[in-house]
Amino acid sequence: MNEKKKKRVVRALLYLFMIICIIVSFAPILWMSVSAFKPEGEILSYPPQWIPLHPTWSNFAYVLKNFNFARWTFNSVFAALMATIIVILIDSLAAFAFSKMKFRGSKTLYAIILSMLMVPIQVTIVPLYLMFADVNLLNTITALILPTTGNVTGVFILTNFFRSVPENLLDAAIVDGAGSFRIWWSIMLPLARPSISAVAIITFMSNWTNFLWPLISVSSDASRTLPVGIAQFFGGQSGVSGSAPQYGPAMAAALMATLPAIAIFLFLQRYFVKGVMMTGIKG
Amino acid sequence: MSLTKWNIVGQAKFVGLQNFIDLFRDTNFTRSLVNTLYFMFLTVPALVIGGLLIAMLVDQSLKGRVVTRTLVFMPYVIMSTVVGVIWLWILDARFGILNYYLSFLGIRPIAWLSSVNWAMPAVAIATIWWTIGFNMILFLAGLQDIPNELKEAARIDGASSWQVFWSITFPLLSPTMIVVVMLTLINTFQVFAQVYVMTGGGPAMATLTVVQYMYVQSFQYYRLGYGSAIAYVVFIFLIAFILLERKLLKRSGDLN
Amino acid sequence: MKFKLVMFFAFAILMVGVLSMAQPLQLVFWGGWTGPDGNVMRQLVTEYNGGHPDVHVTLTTMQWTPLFTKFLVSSRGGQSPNILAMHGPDIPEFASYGLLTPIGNVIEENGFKSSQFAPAAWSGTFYHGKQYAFPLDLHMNAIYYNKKLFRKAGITLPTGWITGKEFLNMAIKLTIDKNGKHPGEPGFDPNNITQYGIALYSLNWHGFLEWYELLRQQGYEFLNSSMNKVGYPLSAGQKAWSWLQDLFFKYHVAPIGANSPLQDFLIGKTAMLEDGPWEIPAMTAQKGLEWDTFPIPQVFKHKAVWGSGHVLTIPIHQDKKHMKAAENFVTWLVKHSDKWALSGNIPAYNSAREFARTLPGRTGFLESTPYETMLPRIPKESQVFSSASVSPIVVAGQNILMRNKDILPVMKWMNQQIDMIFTQ
Repeated sequence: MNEKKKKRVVRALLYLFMIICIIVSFAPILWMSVSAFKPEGEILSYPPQWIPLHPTWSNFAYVLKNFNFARWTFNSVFAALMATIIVILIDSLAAFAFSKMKFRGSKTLYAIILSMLMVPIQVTIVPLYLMFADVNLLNTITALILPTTGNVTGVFILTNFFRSVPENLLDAAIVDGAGSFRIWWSIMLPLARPSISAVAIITFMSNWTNFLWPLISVSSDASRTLPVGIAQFFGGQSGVSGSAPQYGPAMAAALMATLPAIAIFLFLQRYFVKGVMMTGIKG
Repeated sequence: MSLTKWNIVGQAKFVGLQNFIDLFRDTNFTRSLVNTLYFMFLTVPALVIGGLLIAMLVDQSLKGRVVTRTLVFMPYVIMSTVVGVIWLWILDARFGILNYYLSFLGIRPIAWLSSVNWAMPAVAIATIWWTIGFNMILFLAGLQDIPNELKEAARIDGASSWQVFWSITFPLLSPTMIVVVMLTLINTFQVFAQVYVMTGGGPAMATLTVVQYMYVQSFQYYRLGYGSAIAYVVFIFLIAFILLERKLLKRSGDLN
Repeated sequence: MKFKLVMFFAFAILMVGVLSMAQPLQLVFWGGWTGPDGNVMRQLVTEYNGGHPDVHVTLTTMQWTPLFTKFLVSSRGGQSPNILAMHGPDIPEFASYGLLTPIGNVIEENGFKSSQFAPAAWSGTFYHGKQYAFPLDLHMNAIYYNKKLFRKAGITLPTGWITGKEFLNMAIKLTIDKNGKHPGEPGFDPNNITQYGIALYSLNWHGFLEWYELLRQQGYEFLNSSMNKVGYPLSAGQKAWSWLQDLFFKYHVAPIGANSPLQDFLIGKTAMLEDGPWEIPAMTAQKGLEWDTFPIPQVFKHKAVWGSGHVLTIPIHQDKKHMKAAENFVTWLVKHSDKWALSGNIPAYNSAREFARTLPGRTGFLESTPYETMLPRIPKESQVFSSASVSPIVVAGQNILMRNKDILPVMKWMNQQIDMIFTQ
C-alpha cells in the first residue's frame, strides 16, 4: 500500500514537472502571439491580458507597410534554400569521394576538412568580410549564401553514412557500366535520403537563424534577412535615438518570422530530431 | 591580420604583437571575458542538468511526453533575434509578464535589462529557454541507447531507481554528457545575438561579451586588426574546449 | 524518380538565383532615416523624380552605424553612393579618409548665401577650412511637456527659456507619490511615485549629451584647443553631472534606469521629456496626448543646448556627370526642405524654417536654434563619441545617472579612456 502510494506521489510529481516544462516552454510563444493581435492601447494594459479584448490585424499591417518584411522573408528563405542545395550537392560529392574512392592524400584532406569543424564563424568573420569587400560581394545575396556553404558537418555525416553502403552494391553498378557520377547520382543519393534530410535541416536552420554574418555583410534593406530586420525593431539600449520599443508591431513581426519555422518543424519533426542528434554525435 | 593596424579604408600597417599587448592591457576586454565566463556559469549548468532532467522525464512512459518533447524543443527553431525580442517584452520592467507573476510571490518589480545586476541573468534566462531543448534531444538519444535489459536486471536485483541511475544510466551516459557539455560551452562562449538585441552589451558594460566586443571593435570602431586579435583569443578558448572534450571522450571510451 | 525531380528542381532554383543578381545603374542616395523621417524623405525623392525625367534618384535607408560601415566598404571597392547624408560632426572622419568631395563654392554658385542658413548648420559643413556638405537641417534637445498634467498642477505653460531653478520647481510640482505628496514634503515616499516630473535618458549616449550641453552652458569646451585630449575643468564637469544626478537621486523627479523615457512620456507617466525633434511624429501619433515644447533649462551662465544636423555630402568615385546631377538634386532638396520639416527636423535653410513655425510643437526647437552646440569635430568621432555599449561616454553616463556612482572617479575614468582613444 505504502509502496503504491509512494509511486503515485512520484508520478504526480513527474506530471507536475511536465506541466511546468510545457508552460515555461510555450507561454512565451503564446504571449508573443497574443500580443501581436493587441491594438496599441491594449498592449501595455496591466495586469496582462491573455485574451485580446479587441483583436486586430493592425500590427501586421503596420509591419508590412513600414518595413520591407516580405523582402526580408524572401531573402532569408532564398538564401537558406540555396545554401542548403549547394551544401547537399558539394558535401555529398565530397563524402562520396572520401568514402568510396581511394586517392592520394584523401585521409589528410579529410582530416583537414574535419578540423574545419572546429573553426567558429566568429574567428573567420573579419577576413571573410574583407574578402567579400574586395570582390564587391558585400550587400548581395551571394554574400549570404556562400559562407554557410563552407559548413563541413555534412561531409562528416554523409561520409559516415556512405561508408556503411555495402561495396557489392557499387560493384554491381560498375559491372553494369555506371560511372562514378552515375553511381553517386542514382545509387548513393537516393540511399542517403534520411541523412541528406538531416544535413539539409542543419544547414537550412543554421543559415536561417544566422545573425552575425548577415548583420555585418549586408546593410542595404533590399538584401537584409529576417533576423537582422527583426533586430531593427529594437535599436538596443545603446541606440542613437531613444525611440520607444513598439511591442505590438515587434511581436507581429516576430510571430510572422516564427510561424513558418514552427510549421516546418512540426511537419518535419522526425528529421529535426535526427539532425540534432547527428550534430551531437560529431564530437 | 591580427598583427596589423587597419581601418577598412587605408592600407594595413604591420604592428607586430602590439594588438595582443593592447588586448591584455584593455580592461574592457578583460571585462568582456569575465562577463562571458559569468554568462557560462549561469547557463551551462542549467542547460546541462536541466536538459538531462527533462530528457529523463520524457523518457518515462508518461502520457503527454511527446507533446512535452515537442514543446520544449520548439523554441530552438526560433531565430535568436526573435528570442531576444520576445524576452525583451516579457522582461519589460513595468509591463512585462514576468514581473507581474513574480509580484504574486511578493517580489518587487525588477528592472531586468536596465540593472547592472539583473541584465546578465535576464540574457541567461532567454538563452536557457531557447536552447535547452537541443540538449534534451541529445540526452534523449543517449538515454535511448542504453539497453533496457541492464536497468531491468538491476531492478530485479533490488536496486532503487536512484541506484539504477547512478550506477547504470549515468556512467553509460557519460559520452553523451561530455559531448553535451562541450557543445554547450562552445555555444555559450560565442553568445552574441541575444545580447545584441536585448541589452546591446550594457548597462555599464554588464553584458558585454567577447564576441560583442569583437563586433564593436571591428565594425563600429573600424579597428579590424584589433578585432582579429580578439577573434584569435576566442579561437584559442574554443580549441581548448574541444581538446578537453577529445581527452575526456577518450578516457570515458577506455573506461567502457 | 521523384527524388531526381526534386534535385532537378533544386538545380533550376540555383540557376534562376544566379541569373537574377544583375542590378541597373542609378543615382544613389543613402541616408540613415529609418523612422517616419525616412518616409518624408522618400516622398521628396519621388517628387523630384517626377519632375526630372532624365534623372532617377534611389533612396536607400538603414541605421546610421551600418550605413557608415557600408559606406567605408563600398568606397574601398570604388563604389560610393552619389549622395550620402550624415551629421555635421561625422564629416571630419570621412573627410580625413579622403572619401568626400570638397564642394568648393557650389552652394553660392547655386544662388545661396551663407546668411540664408542657421549659423550652426552652416559652420557644421566645414572641416579644416573646406566645405564638404550642403546643410539640410538641425535637430537639438528640448523639453516636451504634457499640457494636461501641467494644467492639473496649476503651472503656466512655458514658452521660452527658463532657469534651472524654475525648471526644478516645476518638476517637483509634477512629481507625485501615491498619497499625492511631492518630493521634499514630509511623508513623501520615493518608492511609490505614480507620476514623475521629467523623463531623462540615462541608459544610452543621450545621458552624456544632457551633460555636454550643461558643460557648454558654463562656457567650456569638452576637448582642448588642439582637439586631441580632454580639456574641460573637472569642477565644471562635476557641477553639470551633479545637477543631473540630483534630478534622479536627490529630488526624485526623474525615474531611475527607465528603459524607455519616450514611452513613459507618451502614456503620461512623466510630465516632461528631454529629447530631440525626431520624436515629433511619435507625439502626433499618440491619441489623447496634448503636448508642446520649450527649450531645455538654462542652468548656468549661458544658453546652450546639444544638437546636431543632417548634411548632404557628395562622395568621391564618380564622374563629372553624376556629380553635377547629384549637386542639382541636393540643391533642389535644400530649397524644398520646408517639406522636410514634417519629419520633425528643423530646416537649416531660413525660409524653410519659417514654414516649421506653422507646425505644432516646434516652439522649443526654434527657440533653441541659435544656441545649438554640436559635438567637437574630430576625425576619431566614431570612437570618441560612440554610442556603443563600451563607449566611455555611455558607460560614464550610466554609472552616474543610473547607478548613482561618485562623480569624480567616473569622470576621471572617462577622461582617461578618451585620452587613450586619442593616442591609439
